Amino acid sequence: MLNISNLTAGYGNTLILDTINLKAAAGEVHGILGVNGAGKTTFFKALCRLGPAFSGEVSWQGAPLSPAGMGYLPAEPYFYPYQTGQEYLELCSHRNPGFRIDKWNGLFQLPLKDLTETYSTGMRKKLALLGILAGGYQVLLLDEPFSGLDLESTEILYEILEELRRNGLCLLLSSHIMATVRQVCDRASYLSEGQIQETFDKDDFPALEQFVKTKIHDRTKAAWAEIRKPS
Amino acid sequence: MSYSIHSFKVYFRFRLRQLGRILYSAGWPGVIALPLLLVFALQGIEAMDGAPGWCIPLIALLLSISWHYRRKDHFFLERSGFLVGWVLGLEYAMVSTVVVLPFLIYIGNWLMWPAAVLCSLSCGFLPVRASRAAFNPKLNVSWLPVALFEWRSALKRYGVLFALLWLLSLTAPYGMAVLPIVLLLWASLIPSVFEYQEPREVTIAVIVNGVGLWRHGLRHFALQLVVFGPGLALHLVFHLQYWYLAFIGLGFIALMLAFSIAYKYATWHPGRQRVMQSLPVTLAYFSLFFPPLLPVVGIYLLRFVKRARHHFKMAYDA
Repeated sequence: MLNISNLTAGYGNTLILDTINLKAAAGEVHGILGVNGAGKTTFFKALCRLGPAFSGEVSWQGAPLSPAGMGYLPAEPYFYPYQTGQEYLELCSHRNPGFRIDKWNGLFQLPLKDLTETYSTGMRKKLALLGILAGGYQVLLLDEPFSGLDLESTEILYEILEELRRNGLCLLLSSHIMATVRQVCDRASYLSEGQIQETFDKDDFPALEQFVKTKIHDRTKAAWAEIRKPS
Repeated sequence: MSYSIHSFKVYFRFRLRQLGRILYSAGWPGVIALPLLLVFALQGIEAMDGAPGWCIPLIALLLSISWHYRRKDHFFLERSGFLVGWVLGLEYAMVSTVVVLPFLIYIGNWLMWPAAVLCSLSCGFLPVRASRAAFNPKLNVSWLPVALFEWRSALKRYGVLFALLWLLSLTAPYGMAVLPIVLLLWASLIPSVFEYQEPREVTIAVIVNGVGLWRHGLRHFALQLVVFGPGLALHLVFHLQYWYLAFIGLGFIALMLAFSIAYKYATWHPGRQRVMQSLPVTLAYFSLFFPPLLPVVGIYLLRFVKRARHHFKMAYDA
């Protein structure tokens, strides 16, 4: 069980996340939802100590979990200049000699001998994804993993997530796409105003959609009335 | 422990391959640059004559600190489970050793080698604030692509000439006239930087009005200062009594930058790809060598600035 308790994070004097508590079981894919700027990325970065000031506790299976114990797929992964895809994966898998680069690359068939500078955005995303799989982590934080992926790669990523779930990994995943959340997540939490407003089980996802619609309804109703008003 | 040794091997094997690729990509300009840089390094060693031994660890320390705070892979390495302090420290120690080796040989104070290595090694453990890398709203570099695009156009055609002039600027210690002459020649090439028209969408994002035009010029001038920083520093170190010659050289560059930018945007036309190099540019060019032409060039400059502002106003309003 991944247990995040009293997580508070922010930049300077600006508080972004206020006392977040979240639990996710092994073999669970947990969606983190919220509008742009709600703090989803800050939440992941705070867990990895990548920027925002942080307080709180994170544990995995009862023991404290260090930031290095979580694999993080950022929206813009880092690659060295003049680095091939193969070398990137070798660096990522240095602690996990059992990771077979060639076999895993069979899923995406990336040109690993080429320099990463020549990769498209989607290819870089796929390489970064293979990179965190190569790390052999038990907890993965995936920030918008589906953005920039083509149709085929999206399907492959669904399969990968299913495989990871079967292997007992815990995945926190942020996404804006409701269909994605419906397909891959076991539970989902809605992040707003620096706090988790509500957590929904898979069976309650229709209620989640209704929850989002209710939240925006009043705002959009007023805006549409203004737009439709003859000038 | 065994996996740590394996980690070091994986990391340094990659860095060596990367170095090989960087050297290979330098191509033939690198072949020209390397001997000249060697001359530059030898000058540095000669300048160290009589310097105290502690200068060697100081060089290693400064090199390592500046590298440590410029690199962007701290968090990648940390997240990938590397022993970041040791990996970076060892890297700094190895590179510093290569850099200070000629100084060690020249000065002969080998006791300073372990001191230099220790200084570099310790730099690997310096803390880096994540927030600085992740969040810095004050640094605005949106203008850089347009500035670099303009230089790219010229460097494609005159890259070798520019490179040679830059390398010549490093030989400033050999004569007080070297730097001003180099800057004069460099200034005469500047109109070619502004020879091509970018699409309006690219330009307008940076230069939306007359004030933006001056700012654009100042930014290009700042780029020149960065590029010629080493040459200027050498000139001031070795010929301090002729400091004004460096400033005259910079004046040439400022004049040609202002003139070329104003001329380019004054003659801006949506359907035209190239700026016509006509009489005013020729006059500006010759004014560098024949100062009595400067008043004429000044009048042209004011006229072009006015016209360029008009163009931008029209483009902005559109």
